[in-house]
Amino acid sequence: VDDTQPLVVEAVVVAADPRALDDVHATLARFWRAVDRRAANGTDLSAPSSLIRHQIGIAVAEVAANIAAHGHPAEAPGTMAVELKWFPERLEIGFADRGLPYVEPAPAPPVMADDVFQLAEHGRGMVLIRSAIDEVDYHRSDDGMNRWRLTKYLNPG
Amino acid sequence: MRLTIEQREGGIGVARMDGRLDLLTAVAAKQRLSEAVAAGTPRLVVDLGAVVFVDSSGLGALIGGLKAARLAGGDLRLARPPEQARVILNLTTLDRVLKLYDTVEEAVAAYTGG
Repeated sequence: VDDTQPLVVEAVVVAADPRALDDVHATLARFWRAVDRRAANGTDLSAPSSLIRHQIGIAVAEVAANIAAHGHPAEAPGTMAVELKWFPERLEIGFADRGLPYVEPAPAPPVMADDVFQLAEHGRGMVLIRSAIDEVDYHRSDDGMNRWRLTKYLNPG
Repeated sequence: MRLTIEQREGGIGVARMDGRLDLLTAVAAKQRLSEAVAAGTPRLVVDLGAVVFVDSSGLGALIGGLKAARLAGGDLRLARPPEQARVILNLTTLDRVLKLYDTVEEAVAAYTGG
């Protein structure tokens, strides 16, 4: 299997604004439709399961929300580029933006069923991304570009 | 997102919402749920059947509603969670805290012992 060439690529540049999350969800939907068309046209290709699609959707929404809400406060508007790629053995999602650097918040404490009043209402985003995705890379370059790369392997083991 | 609350007997409120429960809608959703508790329906059932996407902010709204409900002697339970909602509740292990029901009527019946 040639795992260097993506089978499907979908890319978009949207406003780094929570109101542009619609566009991110629409881009994901277009990506899965393109994946399904490609899978239908190829032999030996099986499209990612609905569970994997939900995990990807959850992680993509969290990264996009972080970039929009924390990387680009009202006084620092901008855009984010989102790129979705399906390779035979993995899914790769890239984000690029020139907003504020990402600062990881203290994670929400673990869920204890016996004391709901201790449950955090914020701070689950990064925990979610890490539990939904196999590899999460974040890098801020010297010239102020934030780059995220999320990798999900399709045939682990 | 639209959110309506139907009052039932026994302090039960059935909250129906649609669209995405996310960064953009979580604050309003939490407020509506807390208002429902204050209005005398602390036994909440949130019908997720028409909710197309839940993110971490949306989970925060449900937790906020749960705390308000528990403080008033009630609870917050989820009905008809779509697969995406089940996945995010499982990833965060919040499915240990928020009870899930296949239908609204099952969630209501669990409150009334019927």
